[in-house]
Amino acid sequence: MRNSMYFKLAASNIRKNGKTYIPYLIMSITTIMMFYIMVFLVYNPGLSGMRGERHIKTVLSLGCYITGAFSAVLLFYTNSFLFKKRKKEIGLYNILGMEKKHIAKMLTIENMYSYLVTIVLGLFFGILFSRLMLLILLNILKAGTGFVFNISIEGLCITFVFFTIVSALILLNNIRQVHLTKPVELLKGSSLGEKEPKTRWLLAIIGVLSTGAGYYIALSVENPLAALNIFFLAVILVIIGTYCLFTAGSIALLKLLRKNKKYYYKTNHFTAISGMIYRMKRNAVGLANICILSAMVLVTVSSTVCLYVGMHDALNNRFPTDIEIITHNADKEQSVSISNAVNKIVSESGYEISKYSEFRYLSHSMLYEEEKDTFSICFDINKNSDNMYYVYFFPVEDYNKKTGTDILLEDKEVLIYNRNNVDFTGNLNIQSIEFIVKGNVKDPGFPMSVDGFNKVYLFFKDEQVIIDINKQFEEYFGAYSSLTHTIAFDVMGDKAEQLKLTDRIKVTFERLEENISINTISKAEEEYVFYAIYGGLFFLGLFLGVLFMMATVLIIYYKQISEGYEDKQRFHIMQQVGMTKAEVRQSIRSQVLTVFFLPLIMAIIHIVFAFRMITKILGVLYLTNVPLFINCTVITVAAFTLFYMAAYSLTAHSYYKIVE
Amino acid sequence: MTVTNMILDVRNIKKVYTTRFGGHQVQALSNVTFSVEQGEFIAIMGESGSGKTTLLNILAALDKPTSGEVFLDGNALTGISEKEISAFRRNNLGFVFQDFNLLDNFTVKDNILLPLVLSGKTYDEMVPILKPVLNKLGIEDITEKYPYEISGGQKQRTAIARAIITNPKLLLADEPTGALDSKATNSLLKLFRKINEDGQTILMVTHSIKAASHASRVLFLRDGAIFHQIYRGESTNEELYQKISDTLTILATGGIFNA
Ligand SMILES: Nc1ncnc2c1ncn2[C@@H]1O[C@H](COP(=O)(O)OP(=O)(O)O)[C@@H](O)[C@H]1O
Ligand SMILES: [Mg+2]
Repeated sequence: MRNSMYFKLAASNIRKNGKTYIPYLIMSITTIMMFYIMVFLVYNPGLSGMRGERHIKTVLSLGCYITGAFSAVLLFYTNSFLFKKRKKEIGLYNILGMEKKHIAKMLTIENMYSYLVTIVLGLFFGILFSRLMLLILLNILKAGTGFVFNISIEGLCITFVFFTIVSALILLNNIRQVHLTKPVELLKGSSLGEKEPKTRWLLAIIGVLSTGAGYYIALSVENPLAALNIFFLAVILVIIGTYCLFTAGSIALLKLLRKNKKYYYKTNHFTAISGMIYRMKRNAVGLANICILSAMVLVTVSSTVCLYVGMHDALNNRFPTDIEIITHNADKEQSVSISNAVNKIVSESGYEISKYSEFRYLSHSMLYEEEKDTFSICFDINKNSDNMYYVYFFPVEDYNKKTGTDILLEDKEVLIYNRNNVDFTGNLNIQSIEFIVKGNVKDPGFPMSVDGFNKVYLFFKDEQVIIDINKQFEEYFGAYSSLTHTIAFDVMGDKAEQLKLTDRIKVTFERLEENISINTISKAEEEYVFYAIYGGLFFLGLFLGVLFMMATVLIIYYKQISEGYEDKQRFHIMQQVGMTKAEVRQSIRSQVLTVFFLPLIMAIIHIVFAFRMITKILGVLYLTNVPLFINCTVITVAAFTLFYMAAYSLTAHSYYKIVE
Repeated sequence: MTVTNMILDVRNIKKVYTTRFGGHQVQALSNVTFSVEQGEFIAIMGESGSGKTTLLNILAALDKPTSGEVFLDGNALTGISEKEISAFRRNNLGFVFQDFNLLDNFTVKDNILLPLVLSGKTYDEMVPILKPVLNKLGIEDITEKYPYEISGGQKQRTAIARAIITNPKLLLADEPTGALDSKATNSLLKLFRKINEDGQTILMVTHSIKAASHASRVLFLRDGAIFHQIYRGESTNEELYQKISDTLTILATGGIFNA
């Protein structure tokens, strides 16, 4: 065969398969574009030198990996769909005398054509939209717009290399399939798999158990730190469960219904059940994919939106005051000199401050055992997670100072405040030292971070008692268990002035340092880090949300048109046997709707069960505003459902055009 | 011929297809007139493209004639409203097609029961109807199988079972042996004879002389009209085969009949 022939064949093949090929090309172009934009952002000099640069780059690199991995999987998936549809055509070429190596050559040329088109257009749109994306990102980060826009050479190179490899692998996989299969099988290709699916009880049961276990974990986890670890376990269980339920569970259920003869042999059940068995078998994996993707979109978008919107809450939760000066391991004298130094700087600088407070305290994460009335050190964070407390040890003097009371305690007495409203009475043991509970008090309003952890403040007679208690902890932690000295106050003035004061304090203590670490933290400074991380995540959430949604639409589209061709014949036969056109249409419509909205409904159920666990994790990120998260989730779900319905009506149109 | 047992009356049917691009028109049927009596086994013969399928679709009310009338058991098909037509088809007509038209996602049994389910019968009502039909067609053993698991002959038997389970007034068959090998064809035609002897009126279109030679009357369709017919009378299948064959030879040489 002459070479020019291959090129002609390849071009006409692409044109002939336009209905399935064009969405694939669009998908390729879009993934290339998005990947380029991500790489572009990571390497953008405009982001260098800004506060929080390291964090934002970490988030964006993460985005690069996810976008890349996801694009590759998606392209493989859609290609396998395309290729399955084309098997017959390729088998025909084979039977008409084209050797397999010729077919391979033809496929290679086709692939080259489409790759050239997609990479050129993808990079072009990438360059076009990267400026817009950068602007959006900078806007989200509330960073100035003093950036230099350019074309990222790194971006072009990395994108080109990455997608060339992906495209080559896809081609090799196709060629491998041509070589592995006999022409007769190729001919049958797309009409294979008509057989009724077997009931796989084991898989169905695994599906139920796995999903159930995932849900149970999501509902039972108490400790947010444990939640972070166990979250992934729950997610993996639910993903496995979803696949099993869609592939085996649905069919098992339908077959059970079919066994019930009285139920099955009714006009609408009859066609619906047998139709659904057939459809579920065809689509189970695709539907499970859509379900997982949808759940991912919903979780990512709702939680990142919530984080971003609630960022100021989180910031205020984490940093109750404008400036904190924290010293570990300082003795009382050192604390006094630090305190004096700070006060001197403040008064010299002329800034007016408020809400000044100063503490020396000990804190540890401890396990509370109610039956033993004991707080003790525990290294197993997964055990009894809801009984883990962050325990603060203060002299009662601090409480008096803050609340204006005048309480005196004996050596063995303790006063307790806890956020969980547990009523402590009788005795309380700290490790092995016994104390008598003098009473429970209200929140003294100390400037401590608000997060998702259980917290308890214990007040003792004086610092000596606390030092004695600490001796027990030193057995575990050595010198790491020491009293913390904290000075906290608000500054009258804007962020710039806060930063100036922070810098002056920092500079002073750099010189003063003697074996102890003094850490000066300002809210204004941390705000940049928060913007970098939460803003970055927000950007990433939206970015990936768009990508996932596109993938969802694409899978839905392919599902619809592949079903369309199969339903056409059935539609016809049903009419000949005596169903009216309207009845047939109604029956097909309800089946298509069921199949279509099943993944969405399942995804929403996943979200409902995950909700509690996600709030816990957001708590770790200092976001404790649950109503805000509920709002974000509801709005995201509503928006996604609308979007999903739009995708349905768009693709349903092409479906009905094929069927009728 | 007495009017009382006339089951089908076709009068001056004409069908013109207008192609999608407009303008161009195809006349599939120009003027078809014939009638069928209760208990007859009619074969309609004609070459490919002579309008057999078109005629059958009109008789089945799947398609409307451009002009002319069809009466089934005294009812004009054209007078039945769009709403009632499906129920009418379900209750009065049975179909057998060349490519079987079984639904792949139903078992043999469910394929056969489909018309009954559509008419809203309960399962308990269906069972006693199903048994004798399966028996008659010799497919009791494959009821739980799926269409892709059985042979062409078995598929066609299934299709026939589905067609006669509603006890239709008229069984319509479009090239029922077209996709079968000669052995399956023979046994299928025998089956048609048997069903016919049990009182079922059958109208079959075919281009196979063999198939037609089993009928009690053969109509010849050419240029969209019936132009000749042969009654079996006392002839054996072989004699009828010979007659049909002779007729077709004359037809091919352009002879004129004065039947
Ligand atoms: N839907 C249609 N639209 C236009 N022409 C048609 C259509 N169906 C059949 N025809 C034409 O009508 C004629 C008769 O077709 P058909 O009844 O299928 O013949 P047969 O079944 O005897 O082979 C043919 O010329 C065919 O091309
Ligand atoms: Mg035909």
